[in-house]
Amino acid sequence: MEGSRSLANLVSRWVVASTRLGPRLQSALLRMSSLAVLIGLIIFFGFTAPGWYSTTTLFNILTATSLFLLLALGETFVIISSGIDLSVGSMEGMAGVASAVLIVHIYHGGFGIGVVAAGAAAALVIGLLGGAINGIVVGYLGLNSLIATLATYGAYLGFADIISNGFPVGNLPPAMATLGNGSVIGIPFLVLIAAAASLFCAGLASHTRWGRYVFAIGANREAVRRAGVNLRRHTVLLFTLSGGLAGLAGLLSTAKFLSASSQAGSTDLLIAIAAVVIGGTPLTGGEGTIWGTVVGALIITIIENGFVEMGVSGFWQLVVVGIIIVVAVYVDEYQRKLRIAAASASQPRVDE
Amino acid sequence: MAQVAPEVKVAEEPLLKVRGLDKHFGPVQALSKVDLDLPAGQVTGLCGDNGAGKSVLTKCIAGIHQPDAGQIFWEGRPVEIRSARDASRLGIETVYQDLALADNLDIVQNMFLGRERVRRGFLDEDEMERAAAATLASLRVTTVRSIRQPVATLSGGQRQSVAVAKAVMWNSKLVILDEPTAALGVMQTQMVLDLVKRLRDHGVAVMVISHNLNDVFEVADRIAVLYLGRMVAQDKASAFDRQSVVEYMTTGTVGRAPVET
Repeated sequence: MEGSRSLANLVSRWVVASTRLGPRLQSALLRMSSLAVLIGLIIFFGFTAPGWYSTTTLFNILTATSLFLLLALGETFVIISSGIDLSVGSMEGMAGVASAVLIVHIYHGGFGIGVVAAGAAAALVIGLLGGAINGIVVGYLGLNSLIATLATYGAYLGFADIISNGFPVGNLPPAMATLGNGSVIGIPFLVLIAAAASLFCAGLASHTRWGRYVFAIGANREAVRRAGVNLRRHTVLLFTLSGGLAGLAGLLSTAKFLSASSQAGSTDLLIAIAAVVIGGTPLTGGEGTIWGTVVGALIITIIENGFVEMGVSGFWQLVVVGIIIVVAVYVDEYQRKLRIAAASASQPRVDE
Repeated sequence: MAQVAPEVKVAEEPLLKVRGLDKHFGPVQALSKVDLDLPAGQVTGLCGDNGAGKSVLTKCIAGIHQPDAGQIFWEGRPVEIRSARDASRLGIETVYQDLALADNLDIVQNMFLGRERVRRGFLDEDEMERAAAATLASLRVTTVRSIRQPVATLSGGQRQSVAVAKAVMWNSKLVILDEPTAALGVMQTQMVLDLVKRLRDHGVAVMVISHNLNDVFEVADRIAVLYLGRMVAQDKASAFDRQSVVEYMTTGTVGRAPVET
């Protein structure tokens, strides 16, 4: 109790101090709590893990982040619209397995660029299709997204095992290894693809009509419906985007490990949701940023990587991520309340 | 001018004319043979007790309900308003009591919700901000600190003002306001009523649905009273006083001996 009060105190002092700044700077500062945690972790591990600052560490972290970040990007849109997509992890597995089976089936020696391209297309199509099915169930049949994607979470996991008979799929062509572990000008392909996807999603969120409606739906679905927006189509596109990104993650995960299994994305779902939440997107919807999710994802990977470098057991990572989720959400909620209170108070009121 | 315009006496055709409107839900006759005129540049106050049919009539005009019989004329032409889309295509916008604002979006984003301006596929924020600022300025909605603040931070009257500004943004010719001053304080109510008067001065036809006779008498040029689904009185506001409106609302007629209690 004492601890939470002093934390609240600290946050409120921070908010009050920031209200004296310009509104733009103020809101920027308020939204940077996760960035502050990220920077704090980078400094902390720099001191405690000798030799941690290196390009190898940097690319290790970025590569490890890139796979579940793809899931987290799609999940960010779904959560901002106040839904949730529980099926992204199994869609990742299903798309990875399906593309690997196809590649193995049509590969007859050589580098195999064409074969990999076909596999990539298959992974994307399967992800988009899986997502579209989620969207149809939620948008047209009107099921709650938690229930709908809980159902497809199991179904897609089952499909992955049906496709592969439950065995991991290996023996992939060299082109796949290049995709998963190669780089251009020193930057891994995986990192480039995740960065491009992040840029794309950030643009979608803040500069398109479709992105605007994601936010508006999260706050007041009825207002958007009355504004004449086709909510059903919007929902289908929303889950299709999430599925497409999961399909891409499935392909890249297969390429990175040169093996595909239905379980490939089993832990990624929760980590992706954690990244979204740590990044400042509340599960109640209506708010959030893509950059917050990127920062949230990096925080998770840095803790894992830093602990390994420090020689601390990797088991602690889950504990610390858990603690960070609680603290991050608490601070966010508190700020949100104060931000609205501060904005209302500084308003020249005409009323009673 | 060689040609002399024929001396047509343009009989002030009301912008919207409702004739003989019937609407029932199952056995319940919600509206029966309702006539209503809504002239441009005038505020019409629609009064009536709960269940008198105010909101059914409003929804027939707004395209939410389809009348069973009767005709709606828009600028003299008979029209069928089958959806809210149809209504806004004609220039009819309705501001419902719940305002339909997205709290997390700012004023500009709310005013353009569903009709965002886009340039090369991307939202044209500068253009929308300019247009929203111009509309708010023309309605003299000036108490907001910034048009980029989320509407969650606005007061009730400001929210109502934003909802009204959103409705008139699209060159609407008729704006229907459902209980615009319910739940507002005295000053906020005044702010909204002033806004209604400015809409009228801009030549917009306004229909205000209200329980509050003070508000009705303050802004209305005309008053229409519904009683159990029938239009029992409709005239210039000066033809009524508070007493007569209350009598129409509660008994459907006027001039009877006061009911003994």
